[in-house]
Amino acid sequence: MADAAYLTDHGIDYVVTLVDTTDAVKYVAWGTGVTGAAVDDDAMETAAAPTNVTAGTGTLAKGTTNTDDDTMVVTHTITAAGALAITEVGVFNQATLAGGICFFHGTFSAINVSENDSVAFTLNVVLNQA
Amino acid sequence: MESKANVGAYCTVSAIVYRADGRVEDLGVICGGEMKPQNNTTTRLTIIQRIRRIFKNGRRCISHRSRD
Repeated sequence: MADAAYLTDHGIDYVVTLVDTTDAVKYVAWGTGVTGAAVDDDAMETAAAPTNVTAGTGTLAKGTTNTDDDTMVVTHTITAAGALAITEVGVFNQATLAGGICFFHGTFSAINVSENDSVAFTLNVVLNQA
Repeated sequence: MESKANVGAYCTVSAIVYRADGRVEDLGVICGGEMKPQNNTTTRLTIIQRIRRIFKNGRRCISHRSRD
């Protein structure tokens, strides 16, 4: 018999459900930082308006990628007030960025936006047994 | 004897741009990566998914490049 121990599919479902139940990690900010995200990030590098001080309130939901309810899904749309080269997005546990927990931080090739352009973000976190 | 005890998280960001003039640009997955479990290596499936993402969108994920 193999010596093995796993967080089961139901365990993953339970963890995702717990996070979803808190309805906390749903505040989304975008930014213009140029340094790649890292696992020890605790804030946006350069948060940009209109989310430079207060993140927008997104929607947190459960999703299914490989097994039932194994995915945390945060969605939010941000509208630019002026020209920006958006290169990062983050999810926090509170609207006020100062003092918030950076739950998710991603960086990417620039999305150039102008005044009144909007970007609809969908951020997925899929748990699995790797 | 095989010994495994791990869990990982696979993260992606997708984006759709709605221009003020009415144009819509679906960028698909713009960034994705994975937190590797401590005692496991990247799976073959994950490598294939990464390659697909890179070529599908014509852009490369910056955030997790250093961890590949």
